[in-house]
Amino acid sequence: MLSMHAGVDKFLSVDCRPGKMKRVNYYGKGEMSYCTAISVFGLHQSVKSTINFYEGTASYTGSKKQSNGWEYIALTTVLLIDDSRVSRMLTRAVIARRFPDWLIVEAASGEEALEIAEGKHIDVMLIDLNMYGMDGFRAAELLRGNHPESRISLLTANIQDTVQERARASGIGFISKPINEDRITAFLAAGEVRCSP
Amino acid sequence: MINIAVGRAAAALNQMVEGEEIELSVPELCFIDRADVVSRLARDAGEAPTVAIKQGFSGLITGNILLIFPENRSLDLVRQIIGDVASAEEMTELEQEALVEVGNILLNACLGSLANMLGRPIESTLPVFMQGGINMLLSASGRPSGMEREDLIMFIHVSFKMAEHKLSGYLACVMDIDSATAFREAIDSYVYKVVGA
Repeated sequence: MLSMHAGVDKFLSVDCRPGKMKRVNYYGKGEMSYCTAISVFGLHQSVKSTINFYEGTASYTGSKKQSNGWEYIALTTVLLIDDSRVSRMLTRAVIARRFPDWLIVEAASGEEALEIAEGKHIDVMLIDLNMYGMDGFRAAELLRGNHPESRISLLTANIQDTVQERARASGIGFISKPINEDRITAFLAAGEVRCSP
Repeated sequence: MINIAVGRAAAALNQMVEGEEIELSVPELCFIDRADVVSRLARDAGEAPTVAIKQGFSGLITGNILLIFPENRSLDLVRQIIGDVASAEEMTELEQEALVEVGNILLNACLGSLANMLGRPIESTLPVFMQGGINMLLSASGRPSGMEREDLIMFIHVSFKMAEHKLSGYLACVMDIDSATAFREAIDSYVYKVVGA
């Protein structure tokens, strides 16, 4: 199945072949298909919330292309990097509420994030600072090397001016915890996050 | 200055519990013998089992900062914070992690705003969770853990209360006397800077 994604690094793949059970309303305006949705990140937990969205009534306005009965839908993808599962859950909830059609992927460490992000397009990365293993600055630096297109921000409880200055100097954003909709929106509004065809 | 730092922590907690008002006591600052720390803490906690999140810090000042709750009310707080995003099962499983995250955000808010006011960075360790009687704060030597050197320490104590959830707890900061001296000097220079005297 993954071979079908060759060259496609940022799409949610929707299997529109006959006999698939999942009902996905991804065009909006009442048009229905019976599909299975699989993201390039595999059958990740985050796919569930994406599917839930597509089962809802919201319409999808991004780009899509077709091939061999599959629809490839470009999603804005956000990678959450935080060693606290609770923090990831809270962040996911806030983002999903404000941006229900985003694909949200999680990593519990900088090391895991590098693995997950390898070869994939990620629009937004939110990185905790104090983590086991490499810290958020190191993770941001390494991820930035492979993902010059990504918008990266720290998402941390460490509100010290020195941390904020270092983030600015490193060309990454700074969002303080606890996360809320206003803060994440302010960060995203500061720059365009768009999925391109 | 402690008022501002703790106020910042309370503001962070207030956001996490979606606007519930948090009453803070006037911070108490005293120099006490380290042997008295436990009895001083026990005076507030009583014999009831407590949970605490402890974070060590170093830099201009070195010590430990603790957020302490009675154990029987802590699940209420967890429910308030992650109740919307976690199932009942997950909540029990995540209770400890959620409290660590609460502690992480509060303690960092407090330490971070102190560091910002003093204009000097403070390094902090990852927060750890502790459970048991107030004696858990003791190390094997019978002294408060992490504080092995001087006999006199500076002790800052602030209690807080969330009326709606009948939850109260307190924040205690223990630092050695060298730190206390450096702390006082930094405060002097902060006051000098602000007042311009």
